[in-house]
Amino acid sequence: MVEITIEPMTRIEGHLAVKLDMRDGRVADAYAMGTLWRGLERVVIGRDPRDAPIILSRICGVCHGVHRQTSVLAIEHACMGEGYHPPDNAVRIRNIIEGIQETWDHAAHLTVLAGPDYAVYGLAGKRCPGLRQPPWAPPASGKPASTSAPCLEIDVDRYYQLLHSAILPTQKLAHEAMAILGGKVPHHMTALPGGVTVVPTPADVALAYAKMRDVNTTIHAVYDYVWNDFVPHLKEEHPDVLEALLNIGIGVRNFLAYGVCPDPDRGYAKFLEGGALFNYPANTTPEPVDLEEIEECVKYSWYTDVSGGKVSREPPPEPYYGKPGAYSWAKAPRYKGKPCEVGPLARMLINRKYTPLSPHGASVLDRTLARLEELKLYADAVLDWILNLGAHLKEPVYDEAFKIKDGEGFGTWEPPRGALLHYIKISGGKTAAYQCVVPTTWNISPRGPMGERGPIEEALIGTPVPYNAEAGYYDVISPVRIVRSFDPCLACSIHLMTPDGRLQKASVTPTPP
Amino acid sequence: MRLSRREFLKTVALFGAAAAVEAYKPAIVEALESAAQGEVPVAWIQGAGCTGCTISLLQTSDPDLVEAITWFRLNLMFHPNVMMEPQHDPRGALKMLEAFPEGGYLIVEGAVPRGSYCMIGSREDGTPITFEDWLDKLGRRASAVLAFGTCASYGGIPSGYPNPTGCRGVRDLFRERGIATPVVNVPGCPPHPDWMLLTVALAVLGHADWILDSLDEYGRPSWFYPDYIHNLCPRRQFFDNLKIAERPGEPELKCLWMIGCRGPVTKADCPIRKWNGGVNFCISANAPCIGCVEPSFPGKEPSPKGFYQHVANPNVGSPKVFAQPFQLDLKSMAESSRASPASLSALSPMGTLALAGLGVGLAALMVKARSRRAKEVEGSG
Repeated sequence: MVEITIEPMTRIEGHLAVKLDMRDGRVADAYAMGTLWRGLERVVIGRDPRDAPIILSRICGVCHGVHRQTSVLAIEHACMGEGYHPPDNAVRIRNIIEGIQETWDHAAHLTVLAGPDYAVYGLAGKRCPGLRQPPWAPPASGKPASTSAPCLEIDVDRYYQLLHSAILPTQKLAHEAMAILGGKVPHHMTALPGGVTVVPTPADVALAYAKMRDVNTTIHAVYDYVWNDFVPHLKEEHPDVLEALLNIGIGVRNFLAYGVCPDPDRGYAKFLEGGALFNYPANTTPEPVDLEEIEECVKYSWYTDVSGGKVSREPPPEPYYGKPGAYSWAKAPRYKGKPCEVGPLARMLINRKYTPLSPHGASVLDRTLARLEELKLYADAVLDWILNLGAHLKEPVYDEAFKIKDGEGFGTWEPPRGALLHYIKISGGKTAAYQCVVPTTWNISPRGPMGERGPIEEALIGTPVPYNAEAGYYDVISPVRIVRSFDPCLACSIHLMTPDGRLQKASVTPTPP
Repeated sequence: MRLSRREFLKTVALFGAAAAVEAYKPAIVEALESAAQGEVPVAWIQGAGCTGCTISLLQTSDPDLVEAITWFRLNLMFHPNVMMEPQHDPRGALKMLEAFPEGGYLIVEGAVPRGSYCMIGSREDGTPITFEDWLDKLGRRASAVLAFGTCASYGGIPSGYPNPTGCRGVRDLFRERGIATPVVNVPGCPPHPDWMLLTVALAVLGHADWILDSLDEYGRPSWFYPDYIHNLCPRRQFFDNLKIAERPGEPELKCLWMIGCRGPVTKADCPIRKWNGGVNFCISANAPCIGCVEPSFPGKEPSPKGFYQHVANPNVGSPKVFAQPFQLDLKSMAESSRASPASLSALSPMGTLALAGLGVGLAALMVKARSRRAKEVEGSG
């Protein structure tokens, strides 16, 4: 058997290596390993609980706003109990920040991070006969294409031109709109337990609206181009390529979401509802989520077997490097004992807002297109939310009755990458315990108690990885596309550490079969 | 693309960056005009960080990142998030990093944890390469290291008490290992894109020495960290007029000093430069400054003061109009305010009536706020 190690994975957040066991030119087994630990949950212990959102926002600089938000929710739950809501305007402002965060994050992922893998869905790829070029496409550089589907092959010159002419200015506009309500971005500064600090003026609202209106126009143009031109082009001109993309990266087909953005004007109904959806597409009915059913397993993680368990009762993990059979520092979260995929595909399927192209119900391309679908959804909704805020500007943004009290609480939210849970225990007015179960831990989890693979590992199985004799290496573009389609964020997923942990990795330089 | 004198001056003007660079303009233009034909290699590596500094850099405008790369002849050979590695080669990214040449500029984002807490890739024999080893190897080759963000500068967020992974800044590692390569700290969580881009620009234009000459006691280019935020703050007048917020989210514009603002102990030009295309900055969004550019961020001693807890500080009592720093002894002033105004002149080096008036007002405010705070703490117990 041949082993291939892809390291470091680039254009994802954080430090990740992926090991593939190959048999007959296909991936027979897969292991995903994170290579950075920071221990941020330890840093908040013993501090004022209101510091936790500020410090834990720094778990990730890409989806920064969401950890602050979720931490704030956990503290509000711990101090004020179930069903507490800060003033309506605070909720509205937090929702707008979340909406802009999702819009920015998905757009950045689809262009800067995953985009080059698909040549931004043709937007910056080599000119392909029969494909209408969008108005923003830079001129083709004229270099010959090396694959049968040149529209999927990155043209670096064009890509940089597009980066300059469209991608960078658009993402910047979104972040400017967010900074109007957040002070600065990344790591916005205004959400805190009990509400938000910022008191927007009519001018602020108008400016944020204008900026997001621009962003929205661009997103609609891209969305229309992908569905009206690019996907039909793939279907007609490159059916073999399309079929390949719909048959890899299928994964576990269990989906989980907690729901996000309660709307104060609709009785706090969530913008996207949560749910657990098992065995899709055979079963299409999601069931409600019970947080008590979430468990973290450590059988294949380098922690002693007493570590792990239910989130609120979990002891601090006891590292045990060299545990027989273990291979990862990430724990394996399971819902009702099952590995679950989280993220835009999960949310869109649970809310019935996306119909997969693949007959398997999921694929590397569906994961990416579901993200585009959600991007448009948020880009539209956030405009309404900003206008609605403009109609309520006189209302308070901070609850004076909010006080830090001892207790324990959960915060759940849906960052761009999927279901996020924060747990806090406050005693003596200080943070006594903290746990985060973050989206990428679900997706990148190692094997669970029954030996079943985590979602990314499962999605890699069976992927063809041809040997390129001329270049002298295995062509790993397909596994890389699959890993990136989950938009992994490693800084989030491995936030725990060991005192003297060493990662030893059996990396074998690939040899020709 | 080569940058003309006019284009460059426009760039500098748009940056607004330098009252500092203003003085050097002729020299910069001269440097540009005689700029070497070849590109200057720059590699950007990440340690224990969150990628926030990279995202902040993407927010730059005039020039944007792509313009900067072409204008400043910057060859960004390795960047974990934006690079176009040879996409089909499993070790392609690593090969590009290994090719970092002598004399290039190394940009570091993220703190330096001890040993195997952070690893990037592995050697041919399979042993992992620690981030420390990469810094050692590439740092010795580099002509200067630019430490972007508070983590790379001083350890930052992951070095907060109890510093679980032994994080510290690049300078600390170089001191431990006797590496002489100069290090420029550009702290901030994240740093402003202008601070980062202008520092890179000057370095690749061959003027690293200007930056090195400008460094303050914490290794930062003093252009970007010129004075206490409190002294530059657009809300300074509310402090001077004693309109001071007592809780977060007050609808009126007020000074945030009593709800934890670190402006009086934090040096940066945020209030002037502002963030995200100049639309806002923390205090203008009514959010107290958290002092994210300072070496002590986010609190390295046990039980650090919370970010929303008031920090008493001498800087707050030295309004810029007075030549000498004036230590405000609030306790005795509070007592003296009840006694006779005459005793105030003995406390104050200046002893002016105006100052006495301010002092009495402040002291009264402090006493009021403290007793209220004490009540709050009891209430929240």
